[in-house]
Amino acid sequence: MKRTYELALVLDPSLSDEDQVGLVDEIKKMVSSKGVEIVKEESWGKRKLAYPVGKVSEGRYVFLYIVAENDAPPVSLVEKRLNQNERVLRYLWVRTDEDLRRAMRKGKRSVPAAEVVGITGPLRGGGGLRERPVEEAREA
Amino acid sequence: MSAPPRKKVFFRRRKVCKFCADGIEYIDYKDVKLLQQYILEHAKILPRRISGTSARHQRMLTDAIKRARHLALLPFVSE
Repeated sequence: MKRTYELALVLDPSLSDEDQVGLVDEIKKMVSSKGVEIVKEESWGKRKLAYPVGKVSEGRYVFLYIVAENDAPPVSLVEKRLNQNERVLRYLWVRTDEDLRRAMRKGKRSVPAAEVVGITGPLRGGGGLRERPVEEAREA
Repeated sequence: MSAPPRKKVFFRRRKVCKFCADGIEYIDYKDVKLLQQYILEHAKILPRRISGTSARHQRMLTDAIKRARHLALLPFVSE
């Protein structure tokens, strides 16, 4: 079954744009392995942090959207290397497929994050069609 | 006991869960603008007795807020 993940990164603000690209490429290489693909990279650029982390008050935000067809991405390895890298202030791994599938099945609004990783709407597998009336009756 | 205490009548508007009403089933930790509406001035999470958020959506919301806090998108405390 397809699994999808997001890897959020907060990087050192003193990096140059080129350094950021280099570091993100390095991280992308760590993440991708057999059957694991990075489908989108989203960069917010430099952003003020809500609270200081160490001595810095800004961070460079990057989000990676990851699709794993059968094999799991090397999460623990990547985490170990991110912990060791002092240019990575914060990171967050989130597995999103279950939440996104449910959201697309039950929700009335499309979820942008689901479209990115190729999780589509309520007609999947027929199960959604049967579940919908029940859910609506409960809410009414 | 002279005059009997008069019963106070006041109307409370029925609170509805914004997420149920809008059919939102996924609360993204990256959606800072949305999450900010659900934290108080000291950066505490707005209780659902005030916001009217349904239990399911409040759980989704707190998870999203906590993820956002870890990434320094939202504060843990603010004076």
